[in-house]
Amino acid sequence: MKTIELKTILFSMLTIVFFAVNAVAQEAEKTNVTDSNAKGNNTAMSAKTDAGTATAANATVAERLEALQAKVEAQEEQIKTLSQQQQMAKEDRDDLSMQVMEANAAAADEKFTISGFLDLSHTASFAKYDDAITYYYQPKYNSFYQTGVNLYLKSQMTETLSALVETRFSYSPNGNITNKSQVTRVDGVETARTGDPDPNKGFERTDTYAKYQFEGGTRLGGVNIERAHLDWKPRDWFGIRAGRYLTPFGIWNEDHGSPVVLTVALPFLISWDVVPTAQTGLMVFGSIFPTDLLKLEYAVTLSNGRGPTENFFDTDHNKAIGLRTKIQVAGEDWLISLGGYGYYGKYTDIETEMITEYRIDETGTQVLDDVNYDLAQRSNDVITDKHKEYIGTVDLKLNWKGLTLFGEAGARKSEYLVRPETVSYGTTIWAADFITNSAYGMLAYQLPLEKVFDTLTITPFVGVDYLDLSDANDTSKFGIYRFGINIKPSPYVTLKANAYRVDSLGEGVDEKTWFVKSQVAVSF
Amino acid sequence: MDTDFYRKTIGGLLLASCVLLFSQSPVMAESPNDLLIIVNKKFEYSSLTITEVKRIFRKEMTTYKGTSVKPIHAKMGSPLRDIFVSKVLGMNVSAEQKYWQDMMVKKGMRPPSELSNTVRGVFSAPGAMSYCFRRDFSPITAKIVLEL
Repeated sequence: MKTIELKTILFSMLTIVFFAVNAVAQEAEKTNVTDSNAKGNNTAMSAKTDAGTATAANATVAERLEALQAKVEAQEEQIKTLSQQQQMAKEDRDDLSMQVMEANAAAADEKFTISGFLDLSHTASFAKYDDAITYYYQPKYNSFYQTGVNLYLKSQMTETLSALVETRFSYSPNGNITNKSQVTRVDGVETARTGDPDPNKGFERTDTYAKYQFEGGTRLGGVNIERAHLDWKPRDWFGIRAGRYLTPFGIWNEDHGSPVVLTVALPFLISWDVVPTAQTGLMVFGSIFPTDLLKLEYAVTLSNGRGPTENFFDTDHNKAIGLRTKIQVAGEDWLISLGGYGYYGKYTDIETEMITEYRIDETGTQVLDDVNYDLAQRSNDVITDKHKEYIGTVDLKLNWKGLTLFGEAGARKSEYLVRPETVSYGTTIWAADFITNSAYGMLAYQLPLEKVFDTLTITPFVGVDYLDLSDANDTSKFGIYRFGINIKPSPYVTLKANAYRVDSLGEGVDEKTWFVKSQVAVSF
Repeated sequence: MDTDFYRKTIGGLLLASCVLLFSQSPVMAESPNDLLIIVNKKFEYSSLTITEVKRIFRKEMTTYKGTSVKPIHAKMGSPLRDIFVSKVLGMNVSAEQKYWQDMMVKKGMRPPSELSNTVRGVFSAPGAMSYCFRRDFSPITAKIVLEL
């Protein structure tokens, strides 16, 4: 910092005064000497005056010549300087051209970018019972798996206008289990056999194998649009997003990519879609920076809400609304962040049908009945499922130096307006209202290795996770205890090794199953 | 005699002030290696805090009091970039790379564009903000908003 302190001023002033006094003293001494010499010299000077007058004219010409020569030399010097400056200007112009080219290249580079990430994971499980209920929800077999490749296309069209598309190329829907059998036994005798989620079907798995014309074949994959939106953001505190966007709740959902998140497996809150992870519609968002320490964020969401086709089409008039707020206080090596998201929407599933009304006229011919009906031919939506969703989440993050404590909690209440039916063995079962709860907490510490390794970061962690899928069902409660390590040997590569134990907490299913998962994730 | 008296007195005071000055804290003189945060001359504000600069270079803040701001980095691997990242962003270059890889995954964001001559970059782009050493700064081409 270059602040001029008071003592610096004092020092400077004293220096000036010191030299001033010195100068005055020396001048005074000189004056004394000059006065005594002057008295002796007066007589000699008057004798020389006449001779000086005679040579004055010659001296003036010589002086003029000398002055003229000096002027010429000065001008030559000036020309030389100007010439040098011209040369420098030329070099500057060339340099500037290079800079403009470089700047244009940089601007183009920032204007449109392609990037992405992919990962490969491995899972292994260790259960006390080989037929543990955990395996209904979690993978049982020792396996490598790859969920897909995420590709980002980002364009910054103008300073305020941008677009982002994130697609996920995946092997899905091949291998997707679309329906699982659920068998009920009483005293060892099967009393009901239904399916999940379709109670009228048994086990079903999608196979996308496509045979070639002559021999061989291939399994087709799919493309999932994770998000695709246009942003107009004229100010930091105000922006509008239109399209499909990640729901702005919590920590994990927006981080979402395997190279960024700490663990291999997602927390229940995310993997069980307690909150819709993405929505289609509009979002108004912004950040405010009241002080150097404080940052406030908000987002208001308006979307189709959840539904069978909500990512491109709504099946009711109702629009889901949501509000996100977040407060963040941060210093040089610490951070406190607290956020919340509230959501209300309606899930509606419909089956659309066409009705045509006929009547028999006086001649006995069947004709459209435009007498008894305003619309003899019309459409009709049969609602098979309609329920309200009330969702609330909170998230907290504390960071101090390399230590981070973070967690999220969320709850969803589903309240039926039209209950879907389940028919099994002649019995109709109606879906009940239910509440889903989930929460997780994690503690991580990034080891202080900056001074030893330039690029390597190592972050061990521990955590807990809880899920109660439905308060109407006692068997769907789970807890997870996890620990592991996250290693980044370079900014582009993440290695993870996790172990976690899943505890089935429901009545009559006291199980504890260990899983070991590892992953290599790469962003590019 | 009077002159001699004043010389001795002021000389003594000067000596004392020297002792006072240099014994307590060093004089923070301007150095050619000072890091300067510079903006385009059309930028209407004359000073920013280090936190504001940090937010701008992390692209958390894209406007400053309604004025659009475009950060320009020095080339990766240059001493200037290293010093800026350390002093302003509070991290090393590798951690900064990691930060931007993470931001790419989270929000599709990319780091600020890079130029080898940041002063020229600021000169030619309205709303541009960058940094340079004092020895490379010219008041004709840019305006200083923070000195470090």
